[in-house]
Amino acid sequence: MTPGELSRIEDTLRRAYGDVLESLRRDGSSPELVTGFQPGRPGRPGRGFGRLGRVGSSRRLAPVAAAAAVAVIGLVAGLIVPGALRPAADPAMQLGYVVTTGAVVPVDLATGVAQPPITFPAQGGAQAAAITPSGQAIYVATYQRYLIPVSTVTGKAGRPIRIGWYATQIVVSPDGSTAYLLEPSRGVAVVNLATNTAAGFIKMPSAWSLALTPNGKTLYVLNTVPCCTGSTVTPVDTATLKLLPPVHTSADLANRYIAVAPDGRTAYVVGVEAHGYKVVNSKIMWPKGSFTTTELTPISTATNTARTPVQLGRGGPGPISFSPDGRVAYIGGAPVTAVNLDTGTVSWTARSPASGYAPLVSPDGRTVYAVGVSTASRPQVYRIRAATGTLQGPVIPKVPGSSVFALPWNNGDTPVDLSPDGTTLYAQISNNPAQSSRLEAVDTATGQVDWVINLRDGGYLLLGPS
Amino acid sequence: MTEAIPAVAHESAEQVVTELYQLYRLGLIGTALVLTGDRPTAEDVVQEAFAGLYRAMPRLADPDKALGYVRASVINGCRLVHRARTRSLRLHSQFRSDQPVAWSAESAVLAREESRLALQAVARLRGRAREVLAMRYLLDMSDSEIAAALGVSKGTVSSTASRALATLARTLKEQS
Repeated sequence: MTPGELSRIEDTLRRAYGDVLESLRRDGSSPELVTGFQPGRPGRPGRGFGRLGRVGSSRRLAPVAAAAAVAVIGLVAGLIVPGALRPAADPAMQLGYVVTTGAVVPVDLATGVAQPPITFPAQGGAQAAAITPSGQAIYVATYQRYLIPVSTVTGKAGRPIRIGWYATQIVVSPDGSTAYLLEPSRGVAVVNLATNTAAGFIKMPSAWSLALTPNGKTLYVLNTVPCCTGSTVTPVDTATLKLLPPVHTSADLANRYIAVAPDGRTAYVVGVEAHGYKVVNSKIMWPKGSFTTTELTPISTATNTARTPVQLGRGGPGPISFSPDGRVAYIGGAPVTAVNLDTGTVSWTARSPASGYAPLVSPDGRTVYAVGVSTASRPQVYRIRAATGTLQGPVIPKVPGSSVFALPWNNGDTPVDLSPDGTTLYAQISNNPAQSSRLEAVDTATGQVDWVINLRDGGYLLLGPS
Repeated sequence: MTEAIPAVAHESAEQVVTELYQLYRLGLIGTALVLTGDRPTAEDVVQEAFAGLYRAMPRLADPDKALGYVRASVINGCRLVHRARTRSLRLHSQFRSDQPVAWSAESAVLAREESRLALQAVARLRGRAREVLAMRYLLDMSDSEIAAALGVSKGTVSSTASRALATLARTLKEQS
């Protein structure tokens, strides 16, 4: 083998292994995972393992949650250097909130100056977080089955609310009155945010992802079931918490992602359909030549019926974003795909690296930002022209050897945020995703880094209302 | 502005294991996934390896060897899985022996066709070769570290990797 051939095969191998790691990071939602190992299963050595024991339950760990068991006092104290602290926030500031283990840190998004952290008992670390529409409260679900209310007004954390299991997704109703917490493979916990008390539990052993209509009246629960018995989406009447008849989709391998269009008329499901598999002794086998295709299934929210799916090809699935006018859906899969929702056809597939995160769309609808993986374990943010799908190259990070900290958070939400005016990208950057990272604010026009905050164990930004 | 964050000091075995888990869990599950072919098994193998490390920590004279211990445990765990499957294969011989038994949807939804083909080709290599490649290119271990983990000489690691890469290159060339 010549040195050139050796180099090529090594690169191929690194990319392939990088894809394996990336698939682990971005998406724990294979059907086997639901029926597979469960934490604390009798007879497993992981039982009683203290803070580390839940290896099997860490599939949807957020970056912060991956660091869940670390002692947090040092982290919180060390998150921001004292010189960067400011005593109080100007009400006119556009604030973001970095959620990390045992703390929420308000950050002035214009300058990157951090406010004093709002601390609370780590309870094993954060699993998911959400901010209310008013921006007055943040809810952090922790590994040890608590939901912690954090007031951004008073700067204090409230009494933890006990929940049944660890939650990996929090959806807050548009009026800010109710939170729906996804407890994977168990169901949905409902929390009254006015009283900060549990208000009910919707038992759904196949629950995997949630989406709420803009009017807050219907919650859609994505179910994932063992391959290949057919996947469903269950609508829930939020007024009564009554389950409506499930909607069947043709994605028999797995439904992966769900989102409701901005007009609330249609829910869209990205699912994977299997071809060529065999069932032998109740086991699914994948002989040579078997393959999968990805599809986007529209579901009418008025009638709760599935319409003909849009075929997205053999690429991997990804979460869904919408153009500001709601007429185009962008699927952050492999590759990033745009679907014209008026005609139900694929407009383009970008020649971008594989993604797996929800694309970001600029407020003017002209630009799409997608987290893509060009080489092994080196995710970057790419700019794509929304009209044509033309790739305009990576935007961040600029520093060679570093990458976007691309671990899953809230069911495929991207680890990158875009400011409401579209002028700044906020991205978590890391030289080694398993270690420390930094939050960077990058000017979308010039690519200049405006400010940087170092994070020891990662953390994610929630944007406050503008 | 840029601020540095002080590291958290290690004080107990639990903290050491926890920190190792945070730092290396993903790579080790990836390695186990490549070697066993399905993610639940890979997660079980890694869980058992860390559980074993936790139990062994009081007896481990040098805490710096904890990482080597857990890496070796993962490799051994994967071998045990493979052995169990080989026995099972004898009972279900209608499947090709070179087809990973549980190489399932995980690989089917991998992002790149090129990666899928490469991993399928890797899966057809012999066990030792797969281990060496995963440790070298997925865990970024040096040949010396791999040799220590597998209990073989550095030369054996080097020659095994060289042969495996040549086989891979040939296989992929034939496929294309």
